[in-house]
Amino acid sequence: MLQYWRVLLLAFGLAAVGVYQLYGMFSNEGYAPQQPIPFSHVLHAGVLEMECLYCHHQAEKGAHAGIPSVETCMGCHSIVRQDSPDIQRLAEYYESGEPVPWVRIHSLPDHSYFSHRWHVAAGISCQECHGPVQNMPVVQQWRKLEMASCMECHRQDTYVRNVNHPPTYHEAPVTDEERERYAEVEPADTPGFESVSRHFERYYAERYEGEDAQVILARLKEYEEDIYLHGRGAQLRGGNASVECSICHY
Amino acid sequence: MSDHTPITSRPEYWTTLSEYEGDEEFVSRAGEEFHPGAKPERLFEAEDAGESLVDPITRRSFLKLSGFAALAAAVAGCERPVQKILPYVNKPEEVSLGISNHYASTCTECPAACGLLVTSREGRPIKLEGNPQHPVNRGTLCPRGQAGLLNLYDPERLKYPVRIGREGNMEYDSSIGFAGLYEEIGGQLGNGQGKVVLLTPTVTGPANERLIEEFLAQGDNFEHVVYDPASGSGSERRAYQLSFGEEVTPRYRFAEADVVLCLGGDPLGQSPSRVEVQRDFAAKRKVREEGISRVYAFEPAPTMTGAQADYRHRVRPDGLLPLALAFARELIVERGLGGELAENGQMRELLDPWTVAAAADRTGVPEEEIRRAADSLALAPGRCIVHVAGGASRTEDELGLHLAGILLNQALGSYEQTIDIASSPSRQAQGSEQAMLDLLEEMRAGEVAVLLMSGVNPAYTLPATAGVEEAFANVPLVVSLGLRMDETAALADYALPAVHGLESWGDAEPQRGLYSVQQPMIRTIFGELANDERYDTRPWQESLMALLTESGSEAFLRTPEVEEPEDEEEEEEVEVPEPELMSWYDFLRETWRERVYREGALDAGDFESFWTAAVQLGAFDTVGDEDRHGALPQPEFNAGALADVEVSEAGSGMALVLHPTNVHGDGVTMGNPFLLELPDAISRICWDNYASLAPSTAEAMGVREGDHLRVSAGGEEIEIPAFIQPGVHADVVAIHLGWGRNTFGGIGDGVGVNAAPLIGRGNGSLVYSGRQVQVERVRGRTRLANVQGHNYLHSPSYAGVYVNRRKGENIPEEAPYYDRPIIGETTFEEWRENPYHAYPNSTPHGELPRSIWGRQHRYAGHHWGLSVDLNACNGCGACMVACSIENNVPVVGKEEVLRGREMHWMRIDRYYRGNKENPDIVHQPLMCQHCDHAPCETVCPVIATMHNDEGLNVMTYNRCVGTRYCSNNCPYKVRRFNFWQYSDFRTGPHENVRRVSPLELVLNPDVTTRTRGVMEKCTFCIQRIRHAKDDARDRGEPLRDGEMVTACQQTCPAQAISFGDRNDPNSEIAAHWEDPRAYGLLEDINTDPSVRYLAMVRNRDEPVPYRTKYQAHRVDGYHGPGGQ
Repeated sequence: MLQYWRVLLLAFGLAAVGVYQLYGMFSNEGYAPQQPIPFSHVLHAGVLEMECLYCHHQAEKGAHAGIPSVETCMGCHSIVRQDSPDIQRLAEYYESGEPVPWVRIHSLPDHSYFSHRWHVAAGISCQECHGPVQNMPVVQQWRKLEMASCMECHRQDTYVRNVNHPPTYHEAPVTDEERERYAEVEPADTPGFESVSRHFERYYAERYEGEDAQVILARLKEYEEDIYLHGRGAQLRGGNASVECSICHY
Repeated sequence: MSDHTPITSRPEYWTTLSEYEGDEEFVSRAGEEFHPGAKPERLFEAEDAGESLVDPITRRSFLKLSGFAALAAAVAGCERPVQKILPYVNKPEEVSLGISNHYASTCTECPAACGLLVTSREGRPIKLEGNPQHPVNRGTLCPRGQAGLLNLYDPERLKYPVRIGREGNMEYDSSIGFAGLYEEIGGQLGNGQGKVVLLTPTVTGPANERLIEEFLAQGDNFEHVVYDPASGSGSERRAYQLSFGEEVTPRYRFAEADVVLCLGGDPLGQSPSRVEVQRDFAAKRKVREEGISRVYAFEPAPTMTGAQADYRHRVRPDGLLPLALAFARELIVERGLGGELAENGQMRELLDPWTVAAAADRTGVPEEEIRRAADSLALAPGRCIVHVAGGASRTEDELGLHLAGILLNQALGSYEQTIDIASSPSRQAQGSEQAMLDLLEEMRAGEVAVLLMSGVNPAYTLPATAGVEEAFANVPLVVSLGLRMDETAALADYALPAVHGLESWGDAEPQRGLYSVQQPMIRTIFGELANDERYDTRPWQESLMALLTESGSEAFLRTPEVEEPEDEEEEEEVEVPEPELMSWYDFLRETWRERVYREGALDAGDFESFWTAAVQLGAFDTVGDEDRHGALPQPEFNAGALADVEVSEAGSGMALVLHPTNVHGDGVTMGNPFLLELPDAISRICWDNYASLAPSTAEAMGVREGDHLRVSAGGEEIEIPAFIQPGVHADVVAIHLGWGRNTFGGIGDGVGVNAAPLIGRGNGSLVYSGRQVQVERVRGRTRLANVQGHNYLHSPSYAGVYVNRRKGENIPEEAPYYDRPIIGETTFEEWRENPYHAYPNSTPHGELPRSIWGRQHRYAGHHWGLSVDLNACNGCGACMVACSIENNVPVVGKEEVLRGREMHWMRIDRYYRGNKENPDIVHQPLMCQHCDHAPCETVCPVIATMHNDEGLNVMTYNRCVGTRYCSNNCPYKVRRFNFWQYSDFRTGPHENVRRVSPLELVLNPDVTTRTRGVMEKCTFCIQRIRHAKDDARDRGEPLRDGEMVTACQQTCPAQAISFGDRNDPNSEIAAHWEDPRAYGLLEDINTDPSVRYLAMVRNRDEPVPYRTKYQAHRVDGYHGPGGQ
């Protein structure tokens, strides 16, 4: 009988190692395919210090950052470096009306919605996820771009809450009733929430006069706690109450 | 409190007859989530395999396969597939990846010509919505309009021009293109021998009409025939011609009507301008202190209008005219309405025999009920509508009925008050059946040389007695300019495929003086850019122009403008170019420049800016502009028109009623799976039509639901499944038109039964209603896919008690079971006395079950809520289709619906109340209730469904492992499980029609297309919430009320649905939350839903007796607990 369990255990262990190995294979970290035209981010973003948003301007407006149209390249290259054979190939594409068949590097797992717009609006630099592109002669995938990569930031106290919530709640004027209420009652400290509230401490201290900032903080704390206590789902979200599944998955 | 509801002997509100009867099979099933056979273990049973996709899989082969699959996955996983990103070469300025653009256009699904606002994503339309600035539909759309998007991408469309063999061999020769065919056909148009006829449905719009004028100008032998089977026979127009000297289609303005009398009329379901009518009708049904409209319906079989009526009476079709005359006599002769009308001798002679008593005697409607309706009408002259247009009124006496209806409206002063015939009459139904029959006569006689047709299908819509095939065989050249291959196109020599309305320019004039623009949203899908080089489709107008030009017309030739030469040297080379055939777009613009544009119109300085503005707005409204249209005509009523009205003898035996529904009518919808799976508004059956019988009749005949009936009349017969429909007159068998098509291998092939063979020939016109038929039961039975038999909201334990009691078991009165409060209903008077009267909730123990949550959750940001006004909802189903398109909800097919597995995120439950022969009908739209105490969330073992901090109950599909615990625990039964990879199929796994290109283009990229094994449900359109919030944040201000609109709310023609932030005290939804009529469904089990229903208020004289037992009590702190 003991033998039987040992074999099972061994098989299970092997399977676990196998799955782990397989999992690694699926990751695309470091993927750096050859592109049809050897476009250099080192030159454009690094040396020339062009804004990322100059070419990937859609990142500001929508979910997708987008690849610039050939026309965008030709905006400069109809004048600049016309002698380079690569630019000549680019011009050929343009004149023939064919798109450049760039090889896709970054892609998100299925069933997830990610918006560049939110992150650009929140002032997150492109390098945060895409790495030092300005130093990459050939662009490669810098992070795994799976859920853990998102959570790496969203678990920290900095990148939460200011993304997806309407100003109505935080900015709502403090009422007398609230002042009274929170003057007497100290909201209970719930483990896991200090971090979120701490993030806002500075934010509100800058914006509100002394006492009111405290009230807003207390209000916020209670709010977080509410979410925390609401359902088992929230309990398993770790310390971060504001990142719930439906923000990315729907 | 202990006044729990005692168990009644029958459920108060019931969904099906088997529930009403306490049928044991029904009751034993009521507690189960799915029909027997829908359980997952059955998937692998061998008996299932014969009809489904899976081969029987043994455990052994399963293990083998899974081992192989794991290996394959491991190997494949090592190599990443290389994906390409192809950017634009020249990016159009207005297109941004992932951001929708909206363009105004005009709907071409029916001649109503509603305004569209097309959501376009990277150049492809993904959603149609109503254009809020369009006067016809004012932002809303019907189910057909919503589903029209699917017709655009329909792979069953005719994709290239074909020559069709005459000898029934149906070989399609596609070797020649448009150019060759234009030449070949065009040559035969101009030879002057025989008539050249253009056959279309109602076509309006300045350019379209000018095109037809040009067609008619080719010669005296050119003729245009309008045949529009779904929008009536043309008798109404003839009646107006006789009564007022002008052939008009009246435009009903229900928003002005306080009393509506329908005599066989069904404005909500069968009017040519349904969206407009439904919206106006509902506006008068919304409860306010001043009162709501009063609706009377006298009809043989329940229609959408009948379901909304305050008083509904069943009459035989031949009783409609006597009733109309009795009303006329009562109002005009007895009560003196209509002034000198009463002195007309001829009319007196006609009306005299039809006293109320005589009509009551003839129809079986109690005298006092007729008087009651007459009382209401007499009280509101100038604020009434008498409506007689509907399938049921198309009897032998149809013309007389219309004349009597006009007389009544004239006497009541409706014209120009509630019905427009002079200021802006409708132009949406101009068809004439008589003209069609005359044309067939001429065709048979060989007088017609060429027949061009577009958008009509007489070989399907007319009975065999009309002799369509024979007539077509006698025409040397028949050309179809339609979108698809159909029964009539098969009789043609050539089919030149047209394009969908979203692919071409066009215009329409739905009301006199209202010009609507239709602009293309996408390049022709089956055109030069398609991957098959044969593909070529063109607007029928363009084909017509080309054909006429080939036949020698010069109307469409224009000399191209010579560009000013830039260089001096080139000057000599410029020659005067040859005149060329202009494009349809140029013709359209030229027509608008000449006929519509006036200086200063739309504040435009010149035509270019006028045109831009008109295209942007979608419509140019000149209704009431006297400069343009001249002073209003003053139609003179000619009472003499009634002189020839004859009342046919009372019929005997079974009377047939053939009628279209709000969705299906002339059969064009049979290629659209969304519409095939949209359950009927009354019966809730999809994927079939059926012969509706009254319960008493069915019992007398020994017919069960689904038994095949042979319905025969005049030598023609059809075999059709029976359906027992409460509300049908005992002597009537009612059948929906528009089913049983031959769509040439398409998905609509053989779905339902074509009832057209039973259409009779009266004196001149066709008879759809009142024909005496023989009905007998024959061998065979069909299971009808009725969605109302499952997803049962009553508690199964209740059902058990109910059955046990029927069996005579002694269940004590204080048994802890109670009739679940599902529908709130009251009468207007009672509502005025006590607005809480309709509140349906009662709790068995006087208090709510304890919540497992420690305390109320506080929703600090948004707290979304939705409300549905039951009084406004007419069950049309637009919301269901809009939801399906917005959320990529798949179609599952009849077999799966039978197993209770339909995927509609939103459904409309239909309840009956009272007497099973003529019950009241209530529609209740039901979507996920987003409970604040959601039972589903607590049971999910993997936390795939959870609550977010805006009150939404959200689904994480990639976390779901398909245990279906949530669905099992949902009291509303709104969760849907993806048993198959439904999105792979067009009509469901059992029919096995795969989704093929270009159907993937219809999918909404903002919403995940769910895979097999995943639970899904209404999300309150979370993607729309996301967009609305993003936009607000970018603006730097809070979200405004009304900015966030769900797909169902957006399209609802009745405006029954509201959505918004309950935390915003000024929002509409917050007001609805406080409305005394508002109640949460099954609130008594303390789920605290985020949906509120505004109770139904019927405008009845007598109080609702059943309501007294609820005593309209509330439990303290119970109503709307989310707000504390």
